[in-house]
Amino acid sequence: MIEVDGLSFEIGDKLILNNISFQVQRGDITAILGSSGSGKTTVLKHLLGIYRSPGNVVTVLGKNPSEIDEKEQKSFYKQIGVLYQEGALLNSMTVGENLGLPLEQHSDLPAPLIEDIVRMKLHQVDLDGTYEKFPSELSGGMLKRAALARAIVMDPPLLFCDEPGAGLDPITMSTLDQLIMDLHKQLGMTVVMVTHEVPSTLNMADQVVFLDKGSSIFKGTPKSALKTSPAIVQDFFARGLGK
Amino acid sequence: MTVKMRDQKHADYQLDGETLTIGGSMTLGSLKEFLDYVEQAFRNYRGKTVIFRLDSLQEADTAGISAIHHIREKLTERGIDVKIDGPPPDIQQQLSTLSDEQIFAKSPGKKWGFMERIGRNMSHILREYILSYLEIAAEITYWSMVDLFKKKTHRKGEVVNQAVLMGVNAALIVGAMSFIIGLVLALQSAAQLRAFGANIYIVDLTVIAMMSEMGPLITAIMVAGRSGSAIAAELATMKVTSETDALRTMGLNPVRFVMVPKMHAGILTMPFLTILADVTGILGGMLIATSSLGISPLVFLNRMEESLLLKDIIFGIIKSLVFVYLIVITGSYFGTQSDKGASEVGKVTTSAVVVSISLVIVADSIMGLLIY
Repeated sequence: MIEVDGLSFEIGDKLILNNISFQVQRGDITAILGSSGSGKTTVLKHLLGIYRSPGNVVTVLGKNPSEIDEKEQKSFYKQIGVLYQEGALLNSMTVGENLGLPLEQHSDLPAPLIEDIVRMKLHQVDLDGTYEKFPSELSGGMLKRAALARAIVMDPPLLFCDEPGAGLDPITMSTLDQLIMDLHKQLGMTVVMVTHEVPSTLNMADQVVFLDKGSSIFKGTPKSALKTSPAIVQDFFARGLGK
Repeated sequence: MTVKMRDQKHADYQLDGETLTIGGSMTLGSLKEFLDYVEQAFRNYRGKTVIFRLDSLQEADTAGISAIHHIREKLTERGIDVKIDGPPPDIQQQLSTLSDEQIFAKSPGKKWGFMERIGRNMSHILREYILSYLEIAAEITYWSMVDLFKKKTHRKGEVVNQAVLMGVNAALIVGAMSFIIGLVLALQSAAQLRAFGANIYIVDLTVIAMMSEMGPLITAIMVAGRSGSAIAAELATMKVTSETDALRTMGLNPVRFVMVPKMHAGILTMPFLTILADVTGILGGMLIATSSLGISPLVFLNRMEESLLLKDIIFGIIKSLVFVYLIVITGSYFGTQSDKGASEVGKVTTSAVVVSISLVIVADSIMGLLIY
């Protein structure tokens, strides 16, 4: 579903990513892990087409996301949902309007039906009663759940999460993780998660890609990351578990 | 010399011949006196060697270690050979770290000649500012024209919403300011015209000045301050909170979704605001004409009919459209150029207003030269 083959990226003279390669299979949950500044979010931005990558270095759903023309963009992005670190809900719109926006723009559904779909999605993420609220009226955890609801409003086959647990307390983070897992099962989504949360990774991920200073130094299952990976990866996991 | 600190920890230091003994606790609190002492002690030092004796140094924080390193570097620059004697192992390790040239490495930087610097700066300005400004102007202009005939490129009702924000909500302030400007313009002119017995020409002066110049200009300045800053702030904030990324990954073009409705709204409302400014400015002038020069409103209006040409009205409206175009483009440019961070939002807002007003004034003078 996703293939990254030799991705390198520089800003000025600084090498941010160095020859990153990995694949994501359909139906898997893949965690891109690493410490702050390791290049995780930069990889994600390449997968989303926000940063340019040449040729076939990055393919998502068979296409290079940064080279899709305007006409194909709508059909491409309909298949992708993104949960941003800060939520990225449009502050000038209510929660209901935020979730309804992709449906309004990419479908010809009548407004009442769109509202019903939005309310169902809010129910799925346990946010009943927030339809008329503005993002500024929500708590951190509620904002993330609303953003997750927007990301899945079109039932996309592919979901990207950028540090979903950032800024959340452990209980709220665990609730969000469980929600993502449930939606993954219900909707059969492929999930790519950029994170540095080790417990979330161990609970959720089928595959771990570990980045260190812009290079991919480990690819494998979470179990093998704990036991047979390079020392820096084992150390990261151990510290993440509080050992 | 011994310096006692309040917390009972103190630094001991003494220069004796070519040996500087440093002991006790060399921490941030004791550094000022230490550095002053060292500067004084080495001012007239003529020796070729200095030994830093550190065996009695019990404690040093990062500031203390850095200070010792700093003095070593200064003395080395003067051609004095510095030896470190007997530091405790942990102090030695920290000093070794500071000896790593990579920590203090500064890029050497090529020295450019005067003309080369001018060329490099002009090239930077052209690439970073002018070309990227033209790029966004082209994109907004293109989509503004294309989206007149397309639906679903932005929120339903957004153009009307923006028209209310940019136009309706500005009407009162534009009207009030233009009234005052018209009044002041007529007031300043009245004294001179009275001296020559040319009272009636106050009508020509007020009407033509307001319709062809002051009306569009005052309106543009008010709109730049209100709407230009709001556009820049909104876009910069959207960038900071990843809302523009979110729009892109929902298959929506931020230019078409956010900026084009503002352009459409501006084009729609600016002529009306300008006409409002013209009318209220003329009313201000009429007030002075009536009160100071004894010209009745009826005479004023008759004279206005004679002196006002259609081209003055049309030219004023064309100017207003050019001005609002520049204001929306400039606000959009600065909003999209901002870096992440709250302080950037303030910076780009200020820049958007200043540059918008400057461009409006430049455009005004160019159009004036072309027409007149």
